Amino acid sequence: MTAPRAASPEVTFEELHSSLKERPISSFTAGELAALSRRLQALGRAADVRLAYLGNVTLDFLAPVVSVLAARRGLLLDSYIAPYGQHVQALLDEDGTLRRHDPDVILLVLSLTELRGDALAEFPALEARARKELMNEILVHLEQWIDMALERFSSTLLIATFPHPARPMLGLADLKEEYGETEFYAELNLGLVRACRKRQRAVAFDLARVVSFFGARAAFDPKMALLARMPWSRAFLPYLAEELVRYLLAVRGRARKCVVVDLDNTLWGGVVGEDGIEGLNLGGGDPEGEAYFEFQRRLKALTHRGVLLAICSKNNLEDALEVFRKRQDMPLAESDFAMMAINWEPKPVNLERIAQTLNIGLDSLVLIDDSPAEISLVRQTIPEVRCVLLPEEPADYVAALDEVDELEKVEVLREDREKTHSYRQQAQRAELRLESLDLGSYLASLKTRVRIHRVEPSGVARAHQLFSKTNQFNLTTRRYSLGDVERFLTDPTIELWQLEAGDRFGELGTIALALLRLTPQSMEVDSFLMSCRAMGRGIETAAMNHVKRRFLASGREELHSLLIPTPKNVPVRDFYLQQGLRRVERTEEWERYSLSRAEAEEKDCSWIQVEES
Amino acid sequence: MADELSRRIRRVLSQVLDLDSDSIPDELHRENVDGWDSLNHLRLVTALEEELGVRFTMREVGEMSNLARIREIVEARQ
Repeated sequence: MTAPRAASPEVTFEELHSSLKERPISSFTAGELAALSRRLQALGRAADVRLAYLGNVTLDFLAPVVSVLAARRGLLLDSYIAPYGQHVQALLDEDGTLRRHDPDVILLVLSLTELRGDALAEFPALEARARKELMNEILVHLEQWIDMALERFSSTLLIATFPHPARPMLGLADLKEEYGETEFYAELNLGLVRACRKRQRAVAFDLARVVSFFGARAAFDPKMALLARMPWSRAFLPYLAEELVRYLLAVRGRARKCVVVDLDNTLWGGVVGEDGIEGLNLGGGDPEGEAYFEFQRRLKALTHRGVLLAICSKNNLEDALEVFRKRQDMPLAESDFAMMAINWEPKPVNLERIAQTLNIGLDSLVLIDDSPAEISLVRQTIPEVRCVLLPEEPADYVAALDEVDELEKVEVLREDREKTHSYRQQAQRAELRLESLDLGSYLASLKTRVRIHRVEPSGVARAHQLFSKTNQFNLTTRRYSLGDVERFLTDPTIELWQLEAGDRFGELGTIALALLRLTPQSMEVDSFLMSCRAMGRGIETAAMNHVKRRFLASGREELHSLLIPTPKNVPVRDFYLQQGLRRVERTEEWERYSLSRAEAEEKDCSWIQVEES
Repeated sequence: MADELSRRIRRVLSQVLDLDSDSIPDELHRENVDGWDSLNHLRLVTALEEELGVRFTMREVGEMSNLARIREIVEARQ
């Protein structure tokens, strides 16, 4: 026997993550990926995402690459690969393997040549009607699989689309054929996308788009397909894996919230302080000017995805604002930015200020800047901030922004579309607070109103988003999957409440959740959380008063709740004490609180108008 | 040159099969290595192709079951 490699010294996940995070995905050799994935597997830490691979292609080559690229973005995976070709049997799960793995996400990758190779080989000989029937058969198979998976597992499902053949069997003539291969694949993929859209927990994983992004000629390797039933080339695997990591970050709510941009030579060509407003290069038919114009458009599109924009620039504030006010030809307006830090202070100071004002973590920021010195300073001083150094060529700015994989969402919700607006309102509220003489009159002048009601099926996506993303005002930080949230609505021992808020500046949307569990003797507050932008105005008290009323209505003798301290939930450490609960037990990991019926007194939040239903 | 080639092959073997690269014997054979299963065999082949900038035929892939033979095939390809 050959001696195994000597045990490597203990490396933590955080160390591995920081050694990987600046590496381009094409820089990993196959040998290195194998070694790194083994190291990740050996870590004793709990996984961030449990991922199950199902399909009729060999996914064993993809999985280690995904694990390494997920670690590069701070996610530790626990993967399970179902036996080749058993995507249905795996769901039936007679030996309970899949259920024991308890996947957060199930990925299904099917190859049509494996699924219906017989019929596909005959494709050019088939009548148009038979081709259409074949497509319907495959779609029905997919929908049945999806529904079975949704029923049996609470996981989010990712179902891969089908890359169309780069060279159809009929060649160019395929496009003139009724139901040729081109049409067949387009309709099949469209059918799959629509089937997924109808089902909340099913998401299309657009493998076909990744293939075309990478280039079909290089993405497939017929030799590996024959040797191992693995259709993809070694060079394509990291690109496929990176796309999957985008989905995982989005599903897990680990996307970053705010893109912070520089101004000079970033949003426009030239330096406003030297070239003057009219001297700036932007649009106007000049190739470079048009490149900056396109970059602004791309940034603007991010605001519709629910990503915030902010400015961090060394400039005179008046000069910079004048550009926004006088250059009407700019795609980006002042109102597209949630915050502007334009002054002569060091960028790390301003980034801290942006995070503080918007009440988001430094690890929610992406800084985009054309200066290598600024980028390097921020990388050294605030490693949590993702830094993007713009390429020398402005024509490549858009691609550099698109490369940022941490800005993805599986679905854009109403709250996302209104986000910039609501964070700007937040800044206006802060201004009002400065003007108001005391806290009481400030709170009264806000005219806050809240509506508290049970979460309905239409609110599941937003509730899941709050469970996944709320870090600061979160008493237990329990992350629940979409499937869990769906189950809460029908479980008679569970009450899931949501709170919507608004004030004189506008609507805040659904911003708080309370998950209550009933046992025969008591009521337990399983989760109590609120979006951080609603903190500090008594809304949490209104929500807790509601919990107390539900407790009294339940007829139970005791209300129990837990505080699980995390590095992020510092603002809630005293919350239950302030709300009149007793601390009955305290360990290193958690604190237990209790309230009897006699103690269940409501706390004052009379400045808030509360509506319950 | 021969030493350099040997070093590169050994490094890939050690990374893919989790072996100590200094103690890989010349007579290393697939039958004597625990982790050298069919999946890792293809990982090994792919990693060698990438490291050495060559592409093996399917027939060669089937024959690469020991270090000596791997060397022969690689040398013939270079």
